[in-house]
Amino acid sequence: MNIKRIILEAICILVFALFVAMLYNAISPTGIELIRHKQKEARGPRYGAVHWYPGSSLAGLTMS
Amino acid sequence: MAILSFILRIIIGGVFLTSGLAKISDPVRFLLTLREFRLFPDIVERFASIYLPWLEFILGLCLLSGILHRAGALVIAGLNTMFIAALVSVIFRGIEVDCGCFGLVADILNLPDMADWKAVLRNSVFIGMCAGIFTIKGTVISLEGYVRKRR
Repeated sequence: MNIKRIILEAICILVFALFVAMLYNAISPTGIELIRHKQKEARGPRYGAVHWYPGSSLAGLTMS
Repeated sequence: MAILSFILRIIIGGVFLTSGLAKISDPVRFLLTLREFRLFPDIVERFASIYLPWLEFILGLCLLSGILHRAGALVIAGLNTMFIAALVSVIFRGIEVDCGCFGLVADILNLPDMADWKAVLRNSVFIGMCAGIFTIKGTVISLEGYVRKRR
């Protein structure tokens, strides 16, 4: 049983998976960017942003 | 013995291919599951949510096709050891979460997917099966064997 060779092969698999994951992340919208985007959505608008809705009164200007 | 190795390869390969695909299709859900474990910093969780599904998918392919299947079994055993450590940590801290093992597939097939002792036992069985694949030298119906024969 050639343990050294098997460990080397295992490292190759790990590196290959990393390469594929990075490639997929780079070409698909379902990568880290999407996760970041969803996090931003979940957080909601930033602090201090002024929101005005058409038809709303002055009270409609909210600081969220 | 070679046939036993083949059967173990098909079972473990099929499980990992399915769970990998389920997670690849919804990385955000997997990320949220990882967050519930409260084990790693945010950057590690984000990296793992992208990397682990692909690693599982490729390991599944390795075992099913028989390419580098012994190295694949070694990596799967290591992965399952990590999963067991995470599950035991969650159980002892009393956090009730989905284990996130099968993602969407668990929902579709209505499989139990909670982080509990059953999940620990299942992963332990997988480690035993990987040990079987690793120790049995020969196997049948493998792409690697086919290529070697052609040489």
